[in-house]
Amino acid sequence: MRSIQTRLLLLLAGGSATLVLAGGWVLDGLVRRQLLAMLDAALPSRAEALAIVLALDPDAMQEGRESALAAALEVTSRPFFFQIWTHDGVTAGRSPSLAGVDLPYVHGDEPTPWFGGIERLPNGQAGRAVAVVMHQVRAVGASGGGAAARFPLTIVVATDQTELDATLARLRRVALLIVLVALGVGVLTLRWVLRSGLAPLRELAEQARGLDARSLASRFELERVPSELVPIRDRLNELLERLQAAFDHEQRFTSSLAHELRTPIAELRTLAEVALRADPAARSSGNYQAFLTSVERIQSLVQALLLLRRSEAGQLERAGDRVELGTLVQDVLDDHEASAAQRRLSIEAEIADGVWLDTNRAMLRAIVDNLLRNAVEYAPTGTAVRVDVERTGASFACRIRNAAPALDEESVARLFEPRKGGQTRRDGSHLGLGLALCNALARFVGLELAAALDPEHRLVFTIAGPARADADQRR
Amino acid sequence: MKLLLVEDSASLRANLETGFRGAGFAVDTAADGTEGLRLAREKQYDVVVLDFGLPSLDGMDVLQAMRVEGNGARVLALTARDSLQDRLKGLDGGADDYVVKPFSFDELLARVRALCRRAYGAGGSAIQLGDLALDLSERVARVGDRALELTRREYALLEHLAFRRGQVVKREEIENSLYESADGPKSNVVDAGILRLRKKLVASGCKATIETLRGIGYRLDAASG
Repeated sequence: MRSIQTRLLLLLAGGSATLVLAGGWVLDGLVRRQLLAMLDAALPSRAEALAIVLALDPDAMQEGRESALAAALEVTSRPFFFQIWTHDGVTAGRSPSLAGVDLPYVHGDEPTPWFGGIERLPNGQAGRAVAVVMHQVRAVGASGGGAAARFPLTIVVATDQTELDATLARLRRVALLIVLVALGVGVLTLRWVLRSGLAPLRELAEQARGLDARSLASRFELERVPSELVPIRDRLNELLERLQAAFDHEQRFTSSLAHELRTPIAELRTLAEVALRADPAARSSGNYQAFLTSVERIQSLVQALLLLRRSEAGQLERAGDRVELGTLVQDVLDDHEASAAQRRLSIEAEIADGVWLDTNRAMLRAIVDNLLRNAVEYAPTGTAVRVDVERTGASFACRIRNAAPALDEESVARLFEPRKGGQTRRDGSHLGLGLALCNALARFVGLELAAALDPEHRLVFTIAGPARADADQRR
Repeated sequence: MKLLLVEDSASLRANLETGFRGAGFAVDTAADGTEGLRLAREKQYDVVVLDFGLPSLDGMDVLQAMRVEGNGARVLALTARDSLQDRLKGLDGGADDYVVKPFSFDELLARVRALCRRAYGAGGSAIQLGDLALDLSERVARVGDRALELTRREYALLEHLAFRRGQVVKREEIENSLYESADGPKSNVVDAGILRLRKKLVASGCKATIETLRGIGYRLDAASG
């Protein structure tokens, strides 16, 4: 998408160029017309000179005497041509330089001089011509002693416009150069003007780009705010203030809720654990263990929720801890040992040593804990939960599998959507919130979390991402 | 072993009291900070389990008052605040250990027992065994200046052996101390834990060794050479 500055620059530069071209075209026409008028102005005097010569010497146009007429035209270095037509269109005389070529004939009835262009003169150049009508007074009779009569003659005088064309071409070149320089300077000036004019808008955009959930406390601060942007800045700052207040309220509420839940969860958990330790009957019935498992599930969710809130508040680093994945996974496995044993699940673990990651330990632990809890809770009684940690080149993969006979591909695809988890708990519920939280946590720490069914119809959760190089495992 | 439990939640207080009594502790309880401080002043306790979020007098104030008055009882802070800053604040304020709610009672019990061992042992907050060092407050084992990556069970096992360094610790004793609520064949759990711990010590270049005395137990020694 083009920026406003580029669009305005293109629009204004294009408009200016069009205007300059149109203006230049008009100006060119005017100058050309003016130059032609100046050229034309010189022609009638030459025609009148011829007329005077003819009036004084009516025989001057007789064959062999054209030089006398031609001499009347030779007052400048510019070449002139003439042709004298009788009233009935017969050539009465012409300049020798015409070499038999005719100039245009204009009927002698024309009251005013006629001006016109000639495409090609005998010297090969285009030219301009003027035609004037005169009446020659001549004696009628054999000896010339009779009455005098008036004979209309059309005198056409032409000259070439080489000089005019050269002048016009020179003017055009100069004008073009001036236009190009003016356009260049204009575009640069326009660019500078637009750039400085749009600077507050750009500053606003830069500040908006830097905003995220962690920087809602910041406000738009613009130097030299143009009046057009003042209401926008003020409204945006008001919106930010309201957004921050809502976000803070929501965070405080979630955080308080999670914190407030810690003590009741501790109460319930201790109740179950102390009962399991003190009362063999409670241990054998399985009820307290099931109760404990439920409490642990709530604890796990609350913990994940708190981590997510802290990550959104910018209180957690994505990769501030260096973690040996195998140890972390084993630690979580230890936590689920009792629940797995209570459900007669065997846990098969193949954990590669020395897979080091730069990550957030608490978040990674919450992800593994939720996935393993999911597996231990949903795996059919008496089956196996398998955990693999492996390193491939510069990446790692941690896979947690459990038999999932009731799941299909469509359900697996929706596992990470809140409230749409595909597996059903033994109590019939299937919130799926834990997996959605896992997904959000994984995104925060830059790990990939995926779910799929393997050929043996086991649900496989895979956490994958970059592992540290072997040579640089510890700090 | 005498233990003072200061916790404002009646339900949690009652359950913890039952649990600690069942584990052989003589337990006094207090429902707020003022009562807790009064009991700590009047009686000599080995360990005080102190909730930091208390009415009337905050747990942190109770701890500070105890330390100012020279009360040397081991204090385990119990709190819902789990940030690193809160943890450091608690430990710097004089707590010997820090457990965040919700917790596993087994883990809490193991930590209280570790504090008791410290109360009757060398008394310090660290154990040095050659190049192997255990920071008992942070619950971190280091070889040289590098922290070992251990699971909580592995650390507890190492700490247990380290308190009795040079002595044979029976497998049953470890089972009862560390895996009390674990189901199934506990000896396998202990063996697997020892195996992993030994592997990590070797991999880290640690000179301390865990010796297996077949049919008897295990012994942690600093480097013999």
